[in-house]
Amino acid sequence: MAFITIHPTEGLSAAELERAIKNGPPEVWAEAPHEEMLASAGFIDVEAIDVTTAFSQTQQAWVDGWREHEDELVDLLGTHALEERKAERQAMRSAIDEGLLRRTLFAARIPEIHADKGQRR
Amino acid sequence: MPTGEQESRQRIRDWYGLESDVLVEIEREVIGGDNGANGYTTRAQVDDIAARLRLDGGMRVLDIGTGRGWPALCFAASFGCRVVACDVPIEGLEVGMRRARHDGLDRLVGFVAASGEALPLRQGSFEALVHTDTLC
Repeated sequence: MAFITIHPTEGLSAAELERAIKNGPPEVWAEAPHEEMLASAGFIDVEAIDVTTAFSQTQQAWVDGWREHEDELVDLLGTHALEERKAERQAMRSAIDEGLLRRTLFAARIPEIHADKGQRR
Repeated sequence: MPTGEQESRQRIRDWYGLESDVLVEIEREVIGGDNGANGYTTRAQVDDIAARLRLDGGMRVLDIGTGRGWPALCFAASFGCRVVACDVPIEGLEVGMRRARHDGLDRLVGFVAASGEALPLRQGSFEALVHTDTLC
């Protein structure tokens, strides 16, 4: 299995966590660290690759792309919706750059199951 | 009065209903894809995931939270994988299905309307599972 997820940085104060959740995408908060949840679900060989820098760059690229095509996007989305979406992306970018949000690529595997013995290895 | 979750779902449905050349142009510039994605998973990251999972033509892959089919369609097109792409908003799946037919990938990619919390799929049906900024 491999997945990429956005999450609050570990060790934030309560106020920082609140800002991370407010400026992050929906469902950004998790009950436990992903490594812990993967281990409790039986995954092994868990790798966590920090892709936060690319996340920040991609977020900025969306803002730049929308700015560059602003006239066409106003026709498509309307001024209010476009401004709202731009503001959300900029707020998230700020939260990333302030160290409140991270993005991580996790890779892990489930041990093989041997049908003959019902054992995992 | 709609709840925050309802508003969020409606917003996603509205977004998936939008199709325009300018959005595709921006998507190509930002993430290197053209499947109607508006997230952060770049083509380079899709290739990284594929390498880590050692994807090849014989593999069955489950993409949870596929939206309009990113990266499911890319896995099928680039690696020949058989992919089941699932998500909740029908509007996104419909766009993905049309794209799969257009690109001749409908034999490799199937779309399923389902939540990741209750997948109508037999356990052990897949060699690889992927999701990108789904939960989030």
